Amino acid sequence: MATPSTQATVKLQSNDNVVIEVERAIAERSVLIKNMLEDCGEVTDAIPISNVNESILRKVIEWCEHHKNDPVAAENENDDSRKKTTDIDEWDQKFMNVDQEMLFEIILAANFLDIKPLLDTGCKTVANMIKGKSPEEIRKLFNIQNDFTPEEEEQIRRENEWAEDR
Amino acid sequence: MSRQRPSGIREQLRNLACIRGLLRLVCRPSKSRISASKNVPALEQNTANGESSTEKAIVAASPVASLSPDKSPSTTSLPADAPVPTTSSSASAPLPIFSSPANRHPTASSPSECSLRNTLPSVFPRAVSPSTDSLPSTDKRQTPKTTLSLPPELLLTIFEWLDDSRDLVAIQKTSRTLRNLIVANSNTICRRIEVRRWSIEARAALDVIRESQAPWRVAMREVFQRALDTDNAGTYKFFVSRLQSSSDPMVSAFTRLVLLEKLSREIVKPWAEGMRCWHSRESGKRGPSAQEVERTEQAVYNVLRMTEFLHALQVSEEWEPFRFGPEGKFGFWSARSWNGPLWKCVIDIKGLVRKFSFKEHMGIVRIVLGLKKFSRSFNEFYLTELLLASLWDRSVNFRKMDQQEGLKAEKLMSSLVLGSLRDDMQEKIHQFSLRYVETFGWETGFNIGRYQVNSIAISSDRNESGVEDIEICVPELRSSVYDWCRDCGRRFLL
Repeated sequence: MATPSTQATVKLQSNDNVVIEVERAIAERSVLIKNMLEDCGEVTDAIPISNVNESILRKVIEWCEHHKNDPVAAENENDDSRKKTTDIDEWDQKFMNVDQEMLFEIILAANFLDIKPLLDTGCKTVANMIKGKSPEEIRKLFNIQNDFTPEEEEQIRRENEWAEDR
Repeated sequence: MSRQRPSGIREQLRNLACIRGLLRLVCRPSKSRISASKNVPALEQNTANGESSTEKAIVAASPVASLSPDKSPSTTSLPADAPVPTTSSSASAPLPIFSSPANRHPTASSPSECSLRNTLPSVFPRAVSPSTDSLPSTDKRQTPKTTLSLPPELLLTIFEWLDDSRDLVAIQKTSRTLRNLIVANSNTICRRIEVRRWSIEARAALDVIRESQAPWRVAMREVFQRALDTDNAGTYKFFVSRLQSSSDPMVSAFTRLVLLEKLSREIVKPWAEGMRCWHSRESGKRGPSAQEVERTEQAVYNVLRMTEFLHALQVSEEWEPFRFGPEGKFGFWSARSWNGPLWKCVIDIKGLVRKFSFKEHMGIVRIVLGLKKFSRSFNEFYLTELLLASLWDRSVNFRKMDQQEGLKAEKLMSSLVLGSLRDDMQEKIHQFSLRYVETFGWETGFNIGRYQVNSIAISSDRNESGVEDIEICVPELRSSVYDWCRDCGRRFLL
């Protein structure tokens, strides 16, 4: 068992080999990194974050910095206790106001680094983009090609009618 | 025990990361980190069904394609210039992110076919599980084009943050692959949306409808059928059609979600909205707070539960109300049994309004009264009178009267409330209650001690076969109320 470290900063290395030094407390918003540091003790070398490039890593660190004082959810916290609304606070909304590819990468990075609040925020952002939109609007927004035939579309429309009868 | 470290910390960290990642996926999946093995239950079920998940997924990936077997899904969801992602499992030819094998037809249904299929058998006639071959996994690197090109397990997480079944329907209309993904995982998605989005009261109200047995269901049909004859027909049409199905249609998570939405939109919101308007008028400029709004909606769900119950009671003409105990409870019995009353049930209408403030109680009464305008059929809307009576009862306890007058009023109130369960007394209690309110006003106290019990219970000491029959009550007081009913039942009925 490694002894707890008093190290103030850690270095993170993106997959394009850029090393970024951050406060340990900020880096530990990532459960993955936190567990690594706990296991390894003091780490002087850069920690390779192999699935995340520099721009995304900086973005994630920016989020972690802003939320570094947020309470960390307990490990055994069940899903019901998660914040139930899809409201996103103002800062996070601005943070997530990026192009889709960046949003995609942030969600992937949050999942990889195990930063649940960031993952939730990303998923909520995408969910909010979908809400209230028609299939055609969703296709346009997310660049999805309609691969149904007109007959299939009509069949699906008819068969979902009961649920959409408002 | 000494620990040997590799020469390079970088190498050690890499190894550690790999091991931790594997352990997370295989042994100890993180709560938050989304992995395919945890969040795509349909795939797990396939395996449990005795077929390999890959084999099943291949079968499952093509069902919608069979609607149009000639159409190749390999060109489906990505634009022509989209980068083609590579996946570790498709070694021979890389597939587009949402592609699925085109030439395979599903051969059998599996338990993994989700609830949407149960609900909509003709909509989803074939097994549809997303394939890990055709959909990228979280840990597979790819070049994304759009947000919806995310791995399926993350897409599912996104969909769980939607609020409305309409959004789910809209998404599944966009492309075959997204439809397959949603359909195959609809139970998981819908249950999570339900828990996140809907209050306990709302779900309980739905459960009353869903789980009710005759005569509840019979009574509901009757009530709703009456409503069909009114201008308000659209309000209940859906429920009637669903309830009158021969088999229980409300078995799937998706159907539950749709029902909750309809319940809210067509019954609860209009009531709550009416009350909010009334509240705003009465309170001057101040609108109701968010808490008041939430409480109102919860109250309406409770009223709805009570309505179901009261209307269920009316199906038996042989039931006669009686009063027992000092708590203002009312019972019914049926004299059909040769050796004494068969049924005894207890209604505590006051318990129902326990959470209401006095003004909220008034608002609810006014809204319920307003329902009468829809149809003469609502003359049988006994709840109105009971709510009115309980409102009046609250005012009786406001110590504005001296003791003698209070006792006299209470006695009269009791007879009127009892009478309100019969048609011929309803108008009388209505008029009396309003007159009383005009005389004494509303702004008085509330003896909350009389309204502690929140119970709707029906019980029988025995049925014709001598076996305990039915007991239905508000869950939190289930055992205590039931025991109390049994004791009273023995005393009164035997």
